[in-house]
Amino acid sequence: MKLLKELGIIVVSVALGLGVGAIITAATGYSVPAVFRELVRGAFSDMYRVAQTLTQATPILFTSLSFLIAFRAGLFNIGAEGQLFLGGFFAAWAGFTLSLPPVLHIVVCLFFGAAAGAVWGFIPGWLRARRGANEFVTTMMLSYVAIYLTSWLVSPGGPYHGHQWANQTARILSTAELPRMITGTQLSWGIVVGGLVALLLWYFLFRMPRGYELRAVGQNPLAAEYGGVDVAPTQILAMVLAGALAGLGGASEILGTHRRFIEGFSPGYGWDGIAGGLIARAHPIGAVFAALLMGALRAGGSAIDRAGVAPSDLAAVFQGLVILFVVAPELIRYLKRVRRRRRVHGRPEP
Amino acid sequence: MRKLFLILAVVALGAAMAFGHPKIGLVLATGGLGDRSFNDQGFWGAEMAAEEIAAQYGVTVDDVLDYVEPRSIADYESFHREFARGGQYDVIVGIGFDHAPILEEVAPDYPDQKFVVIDAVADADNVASIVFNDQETAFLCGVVAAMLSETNKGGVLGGMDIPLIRRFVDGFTQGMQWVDSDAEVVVRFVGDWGNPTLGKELSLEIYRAGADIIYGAAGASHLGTFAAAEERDSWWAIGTDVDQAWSAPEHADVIIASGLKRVDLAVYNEVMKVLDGTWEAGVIGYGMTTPAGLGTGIAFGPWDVSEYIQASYSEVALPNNVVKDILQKLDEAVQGILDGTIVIETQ
Repeated sequence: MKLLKELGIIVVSVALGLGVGAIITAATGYSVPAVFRELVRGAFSDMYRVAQTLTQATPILFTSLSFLIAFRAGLFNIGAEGQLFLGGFFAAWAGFTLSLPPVLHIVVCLFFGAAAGAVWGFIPGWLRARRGANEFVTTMMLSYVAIYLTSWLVSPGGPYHGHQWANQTARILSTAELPRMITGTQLSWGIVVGGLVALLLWYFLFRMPRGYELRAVGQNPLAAEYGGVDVAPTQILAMVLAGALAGLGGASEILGTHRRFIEGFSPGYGWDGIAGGLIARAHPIGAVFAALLMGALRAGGSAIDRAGVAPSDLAAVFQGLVILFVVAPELIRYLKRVRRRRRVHGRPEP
Repeated sequence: MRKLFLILAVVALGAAMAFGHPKIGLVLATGGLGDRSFNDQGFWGAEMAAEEIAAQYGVTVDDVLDYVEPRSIADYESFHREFARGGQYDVIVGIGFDHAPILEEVAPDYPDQKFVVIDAVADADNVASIVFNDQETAFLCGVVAAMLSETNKGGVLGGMDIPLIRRFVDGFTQGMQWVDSDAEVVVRFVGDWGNPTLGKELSLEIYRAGADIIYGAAGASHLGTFAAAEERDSWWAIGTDVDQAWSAPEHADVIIASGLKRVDLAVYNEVMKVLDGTWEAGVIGYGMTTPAGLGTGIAFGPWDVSEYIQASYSEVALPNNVVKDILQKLDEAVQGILDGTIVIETQ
């Protein structure tokens, strides 16, 4: 019953977002039916387009999971974008440097990606738990450090400028490639990895004691502490997991979609994860569906641009509006809760 | 029943292909349209071909030509696949060197699809790779710079420090030094093809280092060079790929010359070759010393001297005797390159 109500809210929110988008489309002088036709066609009209939607949904699934695990512990991971880049780079590095047997090589590369992301999650986690540094600020700033660091690594002056022309690394070895699920599309087995990780995360959060503790810390740190939970280590754990998940997303994107680290390869998947996690109401299984919605919006949005019925900026407006309407109620609810809690704690508000 | 439906579908598809008009798919470089140089010129070439096709089949240019502007290299693969998957495009053209590694992966999946890439060599059986002798063009620009510079110092604003742009730098430097062996060249790289703001900053840096004429080889980024040149009367700029005094007329008062790189011609030729059945995969060179014998040159002065030295829309006022001297020197350089007495060294 509760699920049905949530679903109802989401459907209405999506409809509202599309409705306002339609008004803006009409007001700016573009054809509303044409834009909607391309939006739907671009995301679902045939096997290739569906595969495109799933391809776009894959990294968003990982970053949504990254966001929601931190969110469950009462923390905000704004830095998934940077963790994604760092994970992608280290996965690529392991992909072209190490030489290992086929399946093992993929696993090792994914591990490298997750580990790099985990380190990038640990720093703000530790700063928050031990020093009280606001994780909003630290994750976001570290995100830029990671993006520009990897950008330098593959630029002509950097050490991993692999291809003599473009700003990208050498190609990963074929043993490290996550195979494509459907030939002729970019869809890789990364989405299956993502689905499995979502299941594991659900099991962790709702079936394991550590997951319970993590949620308890998120609900009410004082009560959790009173109940015998070590709050600080739990917060650090949540951020480490958040970083690892985003890093894993970067790794799957590089190993499956691009096969080399490309400067600026993500069009903002890390930011999409924030919306994805909130749309999912911070539930790992919900994140799968949230990522599909976001992926469809991205695939459809790029079709609007390609078909020339409206500029890509308008496609971005659609994406933004749908996200805004879906996320708004949850975000407001959460911020109210944080305000109340931080007042109780006597900590300064962010 | 299902079989019948399938047969009907195949027949319908065949009919559509037999009676349909040819189509061109164009994937631009990340700098995007509006650079009034490389990307725009590639687009004009495709547009020119599309206009001919459209007139012949009684359709519009929009029916014939579909194009996309990727925001990042990461978009390239999906765009090429999007065009290639339906098999409805007679040729797919990738503008820019960075398409090459992607095409090497995508092209083998569509063996019957014809691809063209500009400025790099893609090693695949169904890709025609177009490369230009940019050093020849740059050499001529260097000659003009050396003849005009009062500080005997020229500058190059490059998009990225890569072999392609090094060819521009090498050609320009040797062109200047062919005129005056003491000439110096200051070089800066933007690291981005679409950032005129940074391009302007770096251009000002070059001017302040003593150069009074800058050759821009940075896509949309060197639009900033023109803006920088406007700041002082003694500062000039040289454009790239097309006569930029014509394509960026608001800066015609500082653009004294432009290196020519006939990307439009190359794109047009490839499309036409596909249509008349003479298209072949492989490397195709453009330039004075290639079998094609054309594709490079310079736009300078008020009239066409040869197919390599063409009139420019530049509004920089120069005394007639200076223009004549420069045109003579340019013609000498062209003859030298053609007969092999001038050999331009590139890395």
